[in-house]
Amino acid sequence: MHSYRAVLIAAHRLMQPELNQHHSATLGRSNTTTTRMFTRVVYSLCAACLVCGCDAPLASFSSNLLVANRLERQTGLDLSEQTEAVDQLLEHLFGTPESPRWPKCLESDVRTKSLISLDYLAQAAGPVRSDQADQHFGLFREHCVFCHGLSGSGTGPTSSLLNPYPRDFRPGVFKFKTTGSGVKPTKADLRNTLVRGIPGTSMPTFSLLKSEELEILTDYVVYLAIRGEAERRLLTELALDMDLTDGQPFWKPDWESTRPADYLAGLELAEQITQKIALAWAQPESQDNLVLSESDGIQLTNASRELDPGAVARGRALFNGKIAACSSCHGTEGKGDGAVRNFDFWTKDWTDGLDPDDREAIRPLRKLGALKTRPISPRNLQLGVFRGGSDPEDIYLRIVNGIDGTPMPAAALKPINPQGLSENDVQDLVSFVLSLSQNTSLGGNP
Amino acid sequence: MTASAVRFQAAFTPIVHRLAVLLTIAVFPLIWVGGLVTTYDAGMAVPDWPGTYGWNMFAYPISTWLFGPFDLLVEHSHRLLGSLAGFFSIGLAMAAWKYEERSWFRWWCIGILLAVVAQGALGGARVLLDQRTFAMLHGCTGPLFFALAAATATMSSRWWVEGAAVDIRNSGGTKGRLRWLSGLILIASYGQLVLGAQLRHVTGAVSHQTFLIFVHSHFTLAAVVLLLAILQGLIGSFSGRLPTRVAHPTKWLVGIVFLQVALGIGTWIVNYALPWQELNGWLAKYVIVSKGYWESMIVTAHMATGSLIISLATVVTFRAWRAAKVSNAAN
Ligand code: HEC
Ligand code: HEC
Repeated sequence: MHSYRAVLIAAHRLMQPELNQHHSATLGRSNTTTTRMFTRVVYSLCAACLVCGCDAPLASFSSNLLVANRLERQTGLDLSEQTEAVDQLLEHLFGTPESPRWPKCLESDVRTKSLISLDYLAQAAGPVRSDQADQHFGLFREHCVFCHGLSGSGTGPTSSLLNPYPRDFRPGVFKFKTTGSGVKPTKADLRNTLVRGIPGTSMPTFSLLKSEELEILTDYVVYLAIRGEAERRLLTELALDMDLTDGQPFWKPDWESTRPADYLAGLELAEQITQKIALAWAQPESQDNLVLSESDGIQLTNASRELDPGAVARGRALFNGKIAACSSCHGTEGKGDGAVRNFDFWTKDWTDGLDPDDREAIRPLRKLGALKTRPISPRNLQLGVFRGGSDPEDIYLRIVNGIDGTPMPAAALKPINPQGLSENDVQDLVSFVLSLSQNTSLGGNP
Repeated sequence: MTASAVRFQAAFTPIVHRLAVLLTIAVFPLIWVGGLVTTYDAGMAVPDWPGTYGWNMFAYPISTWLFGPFDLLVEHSHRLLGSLAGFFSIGLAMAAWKYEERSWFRWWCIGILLAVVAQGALGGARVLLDQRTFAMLHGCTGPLFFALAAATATMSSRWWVEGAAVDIRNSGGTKGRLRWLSGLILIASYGQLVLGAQLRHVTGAVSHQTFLIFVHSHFTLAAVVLLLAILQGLIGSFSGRLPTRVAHPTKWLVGIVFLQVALGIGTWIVNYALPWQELNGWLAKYVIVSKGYWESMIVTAHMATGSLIISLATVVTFRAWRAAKVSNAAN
């Protein structure tokens, strides 16, 4: 904002030539030319600025118009007033991209207080700069905003070029993690994604960043995810459960003095929702103590994995069998060619009730910023590129927990489901999956 | 020598030419390091200007400059290299003022000095106002200055002031088409650079729809430049009657345009990964390394090569026009 004013002042001066003339009249003759020259330079700068525009301000998070639109379709309500009210309420709780805030209700609760560090939050946000001690500020804008967008919507400038699209953090759903199906990732999981990158996608590895910078960025992802989920839940609550027939916004910042009861009621609703979401983030249970070893039919050596042919053969049978039914999506040879056309959660979320393939139906939503719909395909397992990591443990977790937000289901497991897979069965499946990208003579053929 | 040819002659002033060449050579690393500033997003690694963290720029401690933060190294080096270009420009303007016979060329050299000052001021404004829009403008005008420097070196050369006639007599004239063509390449490749700058200086405020339009335009214009360059290469090699001083840089120009296309593909891959990852397991394994050495070098090389193309196209265009003018006058 400050810089904006500086430019405006410069432009203002230019529009009042007498100001400059008066100034130069007091100077010598040669100075007049210098002043004029300088004025011209500034003038051309401003002209260029007018043509290209100064930096567009990044002062506020954009609202989740797609979810609002879905709710409008579902309820027949006009939610524009409420969307604006939600924006204002969220700004009250979470601040802006320039100066983010950690909601007070989360800070006062021991379980959510230390979920993220306030210093980290400040350092991740705002414009990019760095100092002599190599402290970087504005890390999210330095590293992530081009793909994930300022509010973590996954619709940054480059997003339409990427396949798969960058993650929309706002629903709080993540794919690659050590926690159970539908459970939030741990911060270690997110950090691990940053270190590893996601092979086979555009998500880079940030392994060259300093360890603290990774922590900072992880905290910021959690912040954006909680903020984004609070937004969508609040909108949902308003649309489905509240009486909005009067068309009035449900909350306004200036009600604090004029309508304190309504002010507090709105705030409390938002705080309750926020707290619930944050608690889910507070202590997700991780299964990262899993270690697969030789006795599981998988031997890890420095050079390559040696797979037990017996395990691979059993795995193949399970893969194509009725219970695991992996082949129904991944195809019998794991080429990823078995499934019917399907879409991921992030697409279905806003196309709900519409056909994602129907361009006409989708068009109004594309105008609201939605990316072109793209079907999701099961992984081609023969490539040996595993986005969530290619250690046997990673594959194991993918099978038992599925991949959140995608059609890949969590396998039916034994004690809960008597017909389900045993732990050994899953390990055999892991061996088979790994064998698909190795020398096929290792049991790839039955 | 015909009477009309004499009209083009002025005395060759080696000092002016040498300074102009020196300036041109100095601007290239300046552009490289400037590109690194953008690649590493290091534009705000030094918050003040023209000082560096309160120091006089030239007195800033070498230890922190060279062995401190990488972003500071890049940004401060860019400023020092910029000053070097400034000093060469001062020298050039002074030498031209004193020794140059062509009065328009004296003023031209003064113009060079003003241009370098303006470019420095633009860089300063980018820092003081913390405006990425200014960074983008600064990134677009930098290569323009590089081209101006190359033009200065061309117009101060011995070939230009006295040798062109001989070269042209030996080769038997020049093709008019070529100078128009190289002029077109010059304009198109500059447009290409401006589009590229939009992609490089993107902020979170740009919508994905707008960005896509820039990407498509950049692709389309790339194809245009490539076609023009191929055409230029064909005319250049088949006509066989180009003055050597035109033919030679033409070959380089065509080669470098091809290199640039390859670097452009590389830039795509290290920024957005492969478009068809599932085609091949080995390729699909590639994970972009954010701020990785090769990633940064490829992207920066793509930018620097873009400005090299513009400068080479400038040299070819200026020489082709000169050759045409001299040969017309000789006939
Ligand atoms: C070049 C584009 C790009 C950049 C830059 C980028 N990402 Fe991503 N990111 C992606 C893509 C694409 C995906 C989706 C991958 C998938 O669905 O398999 C993704 C996914 C993610 C995920 C979700 C992983 C999961 O388990 O679901 C997180 C978290 C993430 N990115 C964080 C970040 C952070 C933090 C930064 C900045 C430090 C960043 N990304 C920079 C492209 C990018
Ligand atoms: C309903 C369809 C479906 C079924 C059934 C299915 N998958 Fe998947 N699978 C998918 C999809 C879709 C993906 C890609 C998810 C993504 O975008 O990351 C996937 C991805 C995977 C991956 C890649 C994980 C990574 O890190 O890249 C593995 C391994 C995998 N599946 C194994 C299995 C196994 C083993 C089974 C059987 C127990 C199975 N799948 C059953 C749809 C399915």
